[in-house]
Amino acid sequence: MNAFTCADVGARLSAFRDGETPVDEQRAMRAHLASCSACAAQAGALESVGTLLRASAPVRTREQDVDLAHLSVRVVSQISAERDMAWPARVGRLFEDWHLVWAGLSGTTSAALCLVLVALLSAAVSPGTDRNPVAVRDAEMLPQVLSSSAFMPAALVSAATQTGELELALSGVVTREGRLADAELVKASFSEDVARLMIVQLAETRFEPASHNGSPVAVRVVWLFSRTTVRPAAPMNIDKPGANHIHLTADNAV
Amino acid sequence: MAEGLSVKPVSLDWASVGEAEAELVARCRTGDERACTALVEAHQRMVYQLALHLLGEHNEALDLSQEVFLRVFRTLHAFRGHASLRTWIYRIVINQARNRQRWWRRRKQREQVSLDDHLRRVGEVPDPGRSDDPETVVERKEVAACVWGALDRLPFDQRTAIVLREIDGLSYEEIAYSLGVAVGTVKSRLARARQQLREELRVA
Ligand SMILES: [Zn+2]
Repeated sequence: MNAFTCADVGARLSAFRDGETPVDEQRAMRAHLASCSACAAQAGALESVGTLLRASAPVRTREQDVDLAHLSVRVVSQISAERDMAWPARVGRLFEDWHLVWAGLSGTTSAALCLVLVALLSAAVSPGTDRNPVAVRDAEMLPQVLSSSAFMPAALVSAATQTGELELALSGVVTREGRLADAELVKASFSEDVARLMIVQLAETRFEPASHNGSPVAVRVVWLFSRTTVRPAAPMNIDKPGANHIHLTADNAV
Repeated sequence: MAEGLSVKPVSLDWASVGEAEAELVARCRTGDERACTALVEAHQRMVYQLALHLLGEHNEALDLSQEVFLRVFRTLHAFRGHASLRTWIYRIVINQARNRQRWWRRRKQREQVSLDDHLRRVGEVPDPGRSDDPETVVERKEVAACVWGALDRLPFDQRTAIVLREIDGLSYEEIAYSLGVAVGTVKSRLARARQQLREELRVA
């Protein structure tokens, strides 16, 4: 390799100082610096700038450390609050997203109804279990409906045929005893009366509770009803406290 | 100038760091408050320190640190492990600081900054522990204030690059990721930043 000129070296000094010069140039750099006092002085100056910067970096005072010590508490409590607040909103957004998916696939939709289950293992409603929630990994972990007829009340079906449109999101907790608790209408595209009827009927439905490691666990479930037979094939994740790896599954379609 | 200058940040065993990090991130995603606290505590000093260097004021830096961690948790689902968590967080700090420093800088320019003001804002100057001689202490503080002033006058991206390199010891690749630019850009920014600092600080 040809020897470096002062200009070659000057252009590379900064990167050389940081050890970011290509290996094949390093030897030429060192050779030049060893024999050229002008370039060596330039290198020394760069070194001094670095030393000055590090020596002038402020050290934290005790007051600053005290402020910092409160940082995690403030951040974590705000994030937890946001997560709790965001839960219905997130489900609503999820629903809208799927609505778009379904709209895009409208050529293959039919008048049949499709039931989609979103199960979220909820630590808060499963006392005695670990605070760290367990991921729902397969459909076997989802609560199974024992009396499935209750899922498709006549009123709902007729609402669907009359309006030609049906979208509904219901949220609730299927307890370890297989009962529905905290049922809540998240979103409905039609009369709330019908939706309320749905909730009443769901409340009478008995479930085989979801299980994890052989024990029944409480899970938060979202039922999304739409007027379609298109099944979302891929599992999808949404963020939720106490939830993780949520599967959307149409296996329980009626 | 010696070979000893080619210092790269010493990294721990990446495989194990990655695994522990991945587990912490997974727990944070489930909303595990203890994991979230651990994540903040593991990174808060470096976040605050960088924010302080970029913004030059304690309260601003503290406020920014809080915003950064909120953003970290709000976007943690997007963290794919293609960078270390630390570098990913650096990137968030820089983006937030860049947004903020536009108006912050305008506000600051209107104020005359004395040495005492400067020290009140950034905290204490490091004490090498050599001397209690008041003159030396004052002199050192003056030098530090000069250095800070010069750093402050650099364009934001140059200042960020030089701080990440000289103080945080990041590699060019990590700096490039943090700034969202190419490695070649990092190289030229560092060279320019050093040149300007040299001239301003009259380092021969
Ligand atoms: Zn030379």
